Amino acid sequence: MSLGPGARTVGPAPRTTKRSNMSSVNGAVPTTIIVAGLALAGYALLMTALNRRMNVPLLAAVGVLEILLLVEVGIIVAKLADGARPAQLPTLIGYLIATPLVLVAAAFWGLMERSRWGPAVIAVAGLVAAVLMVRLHQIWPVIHV
Amino acid sequence: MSEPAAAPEPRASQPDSTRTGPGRLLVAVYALFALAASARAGVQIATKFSHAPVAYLLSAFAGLVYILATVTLSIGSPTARRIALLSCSVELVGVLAVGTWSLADPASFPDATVWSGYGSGYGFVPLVLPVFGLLWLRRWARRNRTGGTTVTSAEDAGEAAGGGVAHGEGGAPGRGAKDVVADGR
Repeated sequence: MSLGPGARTVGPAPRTTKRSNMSSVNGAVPTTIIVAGLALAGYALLMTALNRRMNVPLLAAVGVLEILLLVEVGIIVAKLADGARPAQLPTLIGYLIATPLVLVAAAFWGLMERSRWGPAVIAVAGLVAAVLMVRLHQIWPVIHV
Repeated sequence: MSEPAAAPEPRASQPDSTRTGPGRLLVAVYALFALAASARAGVQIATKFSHAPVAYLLSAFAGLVYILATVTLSIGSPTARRIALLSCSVELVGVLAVGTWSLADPASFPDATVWSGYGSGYGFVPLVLPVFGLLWLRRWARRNRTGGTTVTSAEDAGEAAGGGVAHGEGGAPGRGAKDVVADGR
């Protein structure tokens, strides 16, 4: 993977035995987002399995994850403001726009549903939040806070 | 009042559509892929089209098919369902054809499309999605063919209860039926 001239030197990469993407996402905020997104997805799937509708605790969890995503977007924007540039700037900007919108759109779409399928939409959004962190790291390896 | 109407009145306020129930999830995932595929294709075509023109045009085509499916599934009218059926079918054929093509002739694909390797870059969701879309549409086609009288036992129960309890209040029977149906799925 070729890095642009603007890409900073990545710090000492954690030594891992497995060559997976997950191990290289080593920032506190992205890691928290991945864990929180997967936890949200699991909780929402459980609600779907138990035939529950959208409720306040689930919405609160969505809100917490959304705040984490906005923090991550802020961190990346700060890196860009510092003058650092990824190899694919347009793609990164697209991700920065889409990342905070996914959960909000999912929350509205899920709230319109009066059945177990509302939480199912939230489950997908939680998974997407986790995947987005891995993709952000692939687009710009310096993203590990 | 003790005798429920023969023709259930809540039919008029039938809340179900292809975007409710499981359709809620289906439309959400379709919207996600519509965004992912078309945005990706847009960036690639705008910035480096000559690098892999076939892959990028196929991505753009996939994006259009996803947008079409998202819109028609969320509208849900008979005409929209027919278009949705077409786009889901095109999608299934597309993911199978492009998936096979990308494995047989990797040289044509210096960069991946949504459908490369049967959607392996996207967790094989592109392969599964049209199947669920077609199943969901088939369920609607069946429901309409039976005229809605023998749809599900849950719906019948809900309508019977609603019709018996609140014949005077127009909105109540429909809402009762909606809840039962929604929970039943």
